[in-house]
Amino acid sequence: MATAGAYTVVASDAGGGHVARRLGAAAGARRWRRAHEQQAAVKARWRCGCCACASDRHGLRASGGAGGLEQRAPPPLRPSLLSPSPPARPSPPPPSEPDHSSPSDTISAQIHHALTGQQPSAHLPLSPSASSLSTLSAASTSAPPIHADSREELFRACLRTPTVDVDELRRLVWAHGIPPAPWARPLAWHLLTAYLPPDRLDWQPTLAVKRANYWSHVANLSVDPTERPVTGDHPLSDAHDSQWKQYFDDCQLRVCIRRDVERTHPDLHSFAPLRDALERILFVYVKLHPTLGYKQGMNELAAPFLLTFADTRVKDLSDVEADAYFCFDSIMIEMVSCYEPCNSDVTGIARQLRELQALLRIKDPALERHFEKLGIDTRFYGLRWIRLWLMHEFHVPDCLCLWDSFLTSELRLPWIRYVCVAMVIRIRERLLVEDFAGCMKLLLNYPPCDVSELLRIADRLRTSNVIIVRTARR
Amino acid sequence: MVLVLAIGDFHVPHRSPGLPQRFKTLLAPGKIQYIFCTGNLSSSEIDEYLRSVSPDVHIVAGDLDSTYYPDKAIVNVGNLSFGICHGHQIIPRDSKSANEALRREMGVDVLITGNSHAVEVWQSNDGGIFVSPGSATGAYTTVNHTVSPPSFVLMDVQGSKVVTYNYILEDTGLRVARENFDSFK
Repeated sequence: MATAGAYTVVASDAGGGHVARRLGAAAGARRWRRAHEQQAAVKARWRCGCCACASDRHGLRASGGAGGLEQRAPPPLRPSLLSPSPPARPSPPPPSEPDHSSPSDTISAQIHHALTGQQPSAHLPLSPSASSLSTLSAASTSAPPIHADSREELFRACLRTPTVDVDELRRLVWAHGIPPAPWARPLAWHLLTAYLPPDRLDWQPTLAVKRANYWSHVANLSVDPTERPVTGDHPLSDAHDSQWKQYFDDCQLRVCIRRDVERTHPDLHSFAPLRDALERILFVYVKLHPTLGYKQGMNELAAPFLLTFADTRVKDLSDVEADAYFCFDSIMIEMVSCYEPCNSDVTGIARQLRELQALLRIKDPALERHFEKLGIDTRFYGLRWIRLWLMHEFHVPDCLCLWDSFLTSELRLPWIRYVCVAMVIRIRERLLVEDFAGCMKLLLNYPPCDVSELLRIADRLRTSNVIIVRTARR
Repeated sequence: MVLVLAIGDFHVPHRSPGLPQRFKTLLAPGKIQYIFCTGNLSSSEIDEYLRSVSPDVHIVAGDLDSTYYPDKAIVNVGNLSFGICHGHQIIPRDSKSANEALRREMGVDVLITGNSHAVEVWQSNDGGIFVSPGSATGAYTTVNHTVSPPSFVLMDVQGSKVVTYNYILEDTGLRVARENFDSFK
């Protein structure tokens, strides 16, 4: 592997091992094998009976978002690097400290945690300096999976500076993912989507302004024609400037949005109180971008922000909703073209699909020829993958890991295309033997896999000129 | 905010071929919650049309209806109770006090009557609101030998207040008149 500790080596299922080994250099393959053996015992414990998934996903789903990530990397303790005490989640600040944040202000709480978070171990011997990942890899003799504690320490250190270096944050998140602390992912996503400016002093005023902005939109865009009746306006009017017509059109739009909101994450109990917030977010977005209108799938793009920002300790969800709206808005800037009805081949979703097919043709010509022979157009699977950022293909905790890596790049769609190609290549030997129905079944119900391994494969595809010729045999 | 439509006296097919096209475009489904019809539909075609506009339709019998409908109907909407009666039972015909007496007899806050083919909404001294939607097709009436333009009345019920919109299709086009009433309940 080119970058040591590029992803935490988690158990990967047997099918992907072929390809990873094919892709990696010899040294990387040795390292992979060693890490794989280390994880084998863990994997045996985790593998659940009903499917081949390598993590306790079914337990994770009950808790929803970030809580599941704790189980991502339980590596063996290496006394040279770590404190002797077993790692634990950082405890909340002691009650004697002045309460900097109101209970409803999650960002203040997150900043507080970020800056003064309590560590169970007061010191990390041989802890590397904040921003040099190379010293970390040099300190370890052979690449250990980076420990959750030191990962969080790195993260905290990156955020401790008066001006957060967003590029450094991007590198950190890319290399190590986001630590499982509940404050980490919301704050990271706020910074990566440029919702919060890099200067830490600006955070509080920016938040106040933007949240007030969102709620003023909510108030202004909900038209009540009985409040200030206009002469000449009547309930059955179909004049385009009529308040009543606006009101009835908004009612229809809300019904349309509500239908999709009810279908978003129906199995997640933690999402139930967030549905009204999701409906308001989508309504405000559609009213502020009338040319696009509401399209199915926007609900799936907005839901993860609500899921990650909503903390069970916070009673007041209004700040969460405002933050989620602006983050959703920022990713929609790029995704608008994918939702517009596209007439030309040059822009929009047609272009994305064409580029996806071209990438697949470059990276795995045999598979692409197989698809062409069967008549499987990229549209059949790529449309949903790209439009929803893979939300329907994986379980929520895995999706959030994927979104961490998506959000690190400025232009997300090119990287998402690489991940899609990696997804297809990962199951290539199963695809090559199937017919049309079998292939479509595999692609539309993507078999559960380890997402960090998937991201690793995508990274290899992107950084090297490797072309898949055939799958190696074990 | 509940929208209630008062409409009646179509006399289709005997005195009129059907509802004016302008009214048909206005009465799009999905906006009106209740329809109170004062009677004299004279055909089942109008009955089906009204049920396509709104799910909750209450029709009372006029003097020329062949289908069975009840003589009077009382419906509660919001804080107010609405009484519907065709009006050919009220004698003397144009007497306001006879209308007031009928409202007190039915025990409702708003009384909707037809038969006069003249659109009018007025409030009595004891707080009762009286609505006459006129004839929706502009059919002639033997009551006063005049032909009024097609009309109906739309009411926006907000708690105890009623905002009425009179829709009148004159030769020059549609005219909408709005008025506020408070039932002092």
